[in-house]
Amino acid sequence: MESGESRHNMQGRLQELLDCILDKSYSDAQQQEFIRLMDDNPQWASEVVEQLRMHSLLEWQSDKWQGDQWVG
Amino acid sequence: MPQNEKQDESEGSGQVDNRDRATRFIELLTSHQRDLYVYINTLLVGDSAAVDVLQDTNLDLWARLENFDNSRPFLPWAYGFAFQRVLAYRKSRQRSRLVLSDEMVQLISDACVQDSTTADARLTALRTCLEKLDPEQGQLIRDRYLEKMSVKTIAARLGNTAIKSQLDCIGFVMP
Repeated sequence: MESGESRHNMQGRLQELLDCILDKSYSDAQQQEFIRLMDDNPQWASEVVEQLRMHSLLEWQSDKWQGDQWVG
Repeated sequence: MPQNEKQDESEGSGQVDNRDRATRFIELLTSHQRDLYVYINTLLVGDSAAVDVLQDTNLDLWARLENFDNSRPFLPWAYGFAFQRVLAYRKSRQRSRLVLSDEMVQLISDACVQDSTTADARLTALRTCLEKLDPEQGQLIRDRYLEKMSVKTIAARLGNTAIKSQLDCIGFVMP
């Protein structure tokens, strides 16, 4: 059975890989690892989706509002 | 009334209907650009081609103006076209460059389509969230999204690897 610590480590690793992918600075090995982790853990998809949607929204807004003071 | 005048009136009315329909369609298409971009960019996991895929989707939608049923919600209908464009883009790429499996793309698309929260609603929540950030956290978001710095660059510049987890943390607490 998967321990809580192992699950936490895997989620941390997934986050790390997602950051690399969004930064477009990932290796083939990291890409394959990301695909495998996502496919093996579909229960994490909703969290990743949420983060991707927020990232996409921030990207879209940054293009639209550049120079504005939307982040205070 | 002479027959030809009746015909003119009927055609004129039809033209107005078509113009109204096109105007309404453009309004819907314009007001949902953000939703479509977020959907496409999510499925492409931040691939820079998202804007091109959005433009192709817009062309497809415009070409299907006549098929759009005004009585039905626009966004789920539009997502269908965007999804086909995402699949076409994935097909055009070497499989080795794709960062999601076909199954995962379908699963993520389903999750996006089922969630009726619009980008406008998310943006409102996001604004509230950003207002609550302390100045240091706000600067991180500015660096990441306004200055388009990578997470690695921000961490390296600040010489603090904890910044990375702080940025991740901000990302996860946002609604």
